[in-house]
Amino acid sequence: MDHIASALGGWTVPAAFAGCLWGIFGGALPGISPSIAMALLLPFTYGMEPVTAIVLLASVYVGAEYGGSIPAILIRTPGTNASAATTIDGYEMARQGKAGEALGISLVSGLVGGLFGLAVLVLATEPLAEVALAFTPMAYFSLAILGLSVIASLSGGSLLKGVIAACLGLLVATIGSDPVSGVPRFTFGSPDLLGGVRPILIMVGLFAVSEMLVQIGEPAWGKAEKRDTRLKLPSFGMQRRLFRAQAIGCGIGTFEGVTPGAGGTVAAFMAYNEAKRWSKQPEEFGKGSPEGVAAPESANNVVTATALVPLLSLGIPGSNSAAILLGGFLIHGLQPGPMLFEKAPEVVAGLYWGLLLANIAMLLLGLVILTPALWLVNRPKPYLIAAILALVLSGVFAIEQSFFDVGIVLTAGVVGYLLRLAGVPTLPLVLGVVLGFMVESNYRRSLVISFGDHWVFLQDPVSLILLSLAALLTAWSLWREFGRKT
Amino acid sequence: MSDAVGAGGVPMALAAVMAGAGALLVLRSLLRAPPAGESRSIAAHAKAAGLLAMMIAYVLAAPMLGYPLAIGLFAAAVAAYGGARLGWRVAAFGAGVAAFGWLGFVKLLGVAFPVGTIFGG
Amino acid sequence: MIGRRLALSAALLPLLPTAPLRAQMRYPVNPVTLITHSSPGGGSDVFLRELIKHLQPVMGVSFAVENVRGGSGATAVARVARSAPNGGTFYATTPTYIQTSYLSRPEVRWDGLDPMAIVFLDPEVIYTRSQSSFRTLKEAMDAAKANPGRQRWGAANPASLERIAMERLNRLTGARAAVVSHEGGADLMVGVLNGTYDVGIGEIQEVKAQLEAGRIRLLGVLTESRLPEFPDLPTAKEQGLDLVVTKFRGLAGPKGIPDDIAAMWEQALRTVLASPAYRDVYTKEALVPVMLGREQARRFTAQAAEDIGAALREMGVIR
Repeated sequence: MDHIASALGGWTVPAAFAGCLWGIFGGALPGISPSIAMALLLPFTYGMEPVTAIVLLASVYVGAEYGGSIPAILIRTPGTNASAATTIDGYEMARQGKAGEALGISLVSGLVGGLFGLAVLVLATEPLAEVALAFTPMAYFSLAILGLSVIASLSGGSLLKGVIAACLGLLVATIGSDPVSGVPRFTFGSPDLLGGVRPILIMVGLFAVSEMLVQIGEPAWGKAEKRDTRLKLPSFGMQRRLFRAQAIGCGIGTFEGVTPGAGGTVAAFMAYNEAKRWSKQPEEFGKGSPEGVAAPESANNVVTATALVPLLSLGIPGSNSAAILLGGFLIHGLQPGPMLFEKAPEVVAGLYWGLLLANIAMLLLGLVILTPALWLVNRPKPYLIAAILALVLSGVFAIEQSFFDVGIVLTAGVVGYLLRLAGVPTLPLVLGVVLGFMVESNYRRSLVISFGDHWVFLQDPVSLILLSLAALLTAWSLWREFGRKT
Repeated sequence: MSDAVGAGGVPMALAAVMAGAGALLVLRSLLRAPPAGESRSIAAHAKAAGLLAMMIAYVLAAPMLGYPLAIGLFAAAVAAYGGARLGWRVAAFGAGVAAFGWLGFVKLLGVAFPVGTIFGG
Repeated sequence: MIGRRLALSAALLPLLPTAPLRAQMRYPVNPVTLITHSSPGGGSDVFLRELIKHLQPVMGVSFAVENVRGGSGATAVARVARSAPNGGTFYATTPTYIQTSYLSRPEVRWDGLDPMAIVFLDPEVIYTRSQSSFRTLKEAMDAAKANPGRQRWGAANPASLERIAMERLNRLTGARAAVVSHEGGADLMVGVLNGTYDVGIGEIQEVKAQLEAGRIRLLGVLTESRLPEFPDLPTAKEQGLDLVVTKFRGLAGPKGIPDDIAAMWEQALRTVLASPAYRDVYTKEALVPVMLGREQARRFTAQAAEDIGAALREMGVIR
């Protein structure tokens, strides 16, 4: 009971709301990732009470991970990496005039995921930490392969084109320092490329910029179309339909979040894929299926909470955002890890309460700001295109104050435009970029560990399970996509 | 010091797969009509090219003009290019974008956008 | 440049309980900007923010910490190199800026800056999980020597000093162990904890959480002499392995800063390092104070650059 009093007293509640609002704003800005939004507030937390500081940072984190879905649905621009999968059906729904409904589904699914993830974090940290510890580089490789296997059903009908797109994405991921030997690859001597190409730049370019390039040549949207002008929360009946998709999202998100490195993006795509597989109306996916929004949104909000499992139990940050949170702990002289629960339980309790408050704040803030956002997006097309591009160009520059990054986005935009002309699916490319590093680095690490023996991938038990799962699911998807057509 | 695969191993393997898949695609298209991607008129492509040119112009001009002026001009130009009627509305829109960008990114987020060499930045 | 305003206000926070600024010198520039390429919360960032708290009363000026990310440090280095040589702008140096100079063609290489001081050395430790049978580094290396081509060691980034150290250890012992690179210390910690790696290497800060929980054991420290925090932990040298890693933290400015400013910095840093309040902080973090003034810092940095270049060439990372 003491904990509740100390957690809710003082500045905790305002911190949760302010942090969440800031996070939503930052997350919605294309290019500003959750970790950047958190980093921007970090200097402010120096003078704060530890619990307040942690609550503030955690709320930014929750808000930002959610905020990315807003532009993803409204303008086909993922605000954060993890919202990339939401663009598929979310934007499609928006084009059909159902943006308000999509936003409502995203909000509610996000809340469901956030609360589920929090429950898992509070109740199951210890056992889940053991899962995280069971992962070897071989297992990580197989996990990445499992993530890649999703391309089989995202290739829009042509597996060959999907494979090419995925390989292109994997190639882009090789730009930078080689993960094993450190040799610079494809950098042309440029220090800007030494760190590799950020996936968000590729995503924003491929999705948003290419869409604008297409839209500028299309006639203006007709006035007679019926478009949502207000936020529409899912009805009871709709919520029942979404339950399966959300459950799948929660399950996958838990697993992906706990294993450091995999992240919300992969969880979202896999949840999308599995929701489609088990859906009663799979043919709607890709054409504006509500389940196609619910699954990835619940998945990536679950990851937000479960990514803290390795941080709290082992002191190991599993994502950039977790690393900033770690910095927040360290600044206040706290060491996350096995001893934190013993030395500073009130901080851990404060964090849990903060996450709960942040989720509630997310719901309330969403109810307030989504309708104005919807209004903004219903403005005439020429102004909208101009505003979206201005936002993208500004947001991308803000990441590292670099016009080089903007150049990358423009290049990706042109590539996306050309790919659309050629009928090549872009989602496999995105997956390749996101997973490329994880696939290659762990593949080669495993070979160093085994002194060159390839059997190691089947000898490691976790790896064996994951590879078998990947093979099984791929075969199933292939049969479903292509088998029935012939 | 490094492994058997080496720094070049994976890129080469990927290139090989891409070449193989590409060859298969070419073969398939020679044998029968391929599923079409989006087909668009030359005018549409030209319009897209013009938009791209404007974005490139912004990137080149921003260090000189400074961020607020450049982004405002960009926004107004794109809106006009996209079909908005020329007039005070477009100008006000450009000014609005410049103000929002400056307030949000430079003041609020504190990001160091270029001030512009013509302003002594 | 995440918010000059934010950074400045954060830097001024410690001054709010108005202790009089007992300046012991008249430093010509105010405020002074310290630039780091690490993001807020990162190693250099935390180091700088702590340092300026203690520097401010001694030097009588206010400090701002700016995070200039991008290009693996190249942007930050270029920014400092272009600034006026009046003592108002400095870069927080670590081996990274030397590595970037070798691995790419940055606008300004490491020698485009003039080292002002070397303040600390981050000690690296070799550790293993507590379930392991190795009690000392010597035991671990003897086992490796006896079974060449069998052990697996975890290291950090492939171009990092940590990996260079492990490769050197490999050669010293003839162990032909597999040295596996990771993205920094946290990643490889999992590998050590679950037994994938026989030993790992990392900074004390990185391994502290696991050490206190009793999950890992330190085998040896790669410094010239033992750490005051860990008096029972022998150095690698003591155990017969001539291996010392110099992961430094210092300051560098643009070329052409006058001598009197350099002298003021040396005096100020010496004072700060000797102060009990700061000593508490850095001893807890197991940082080794090393106070090199400008002349020595220049020689030290040049030597470090040569060593890193040679090691990278040896490992085949660069030609």
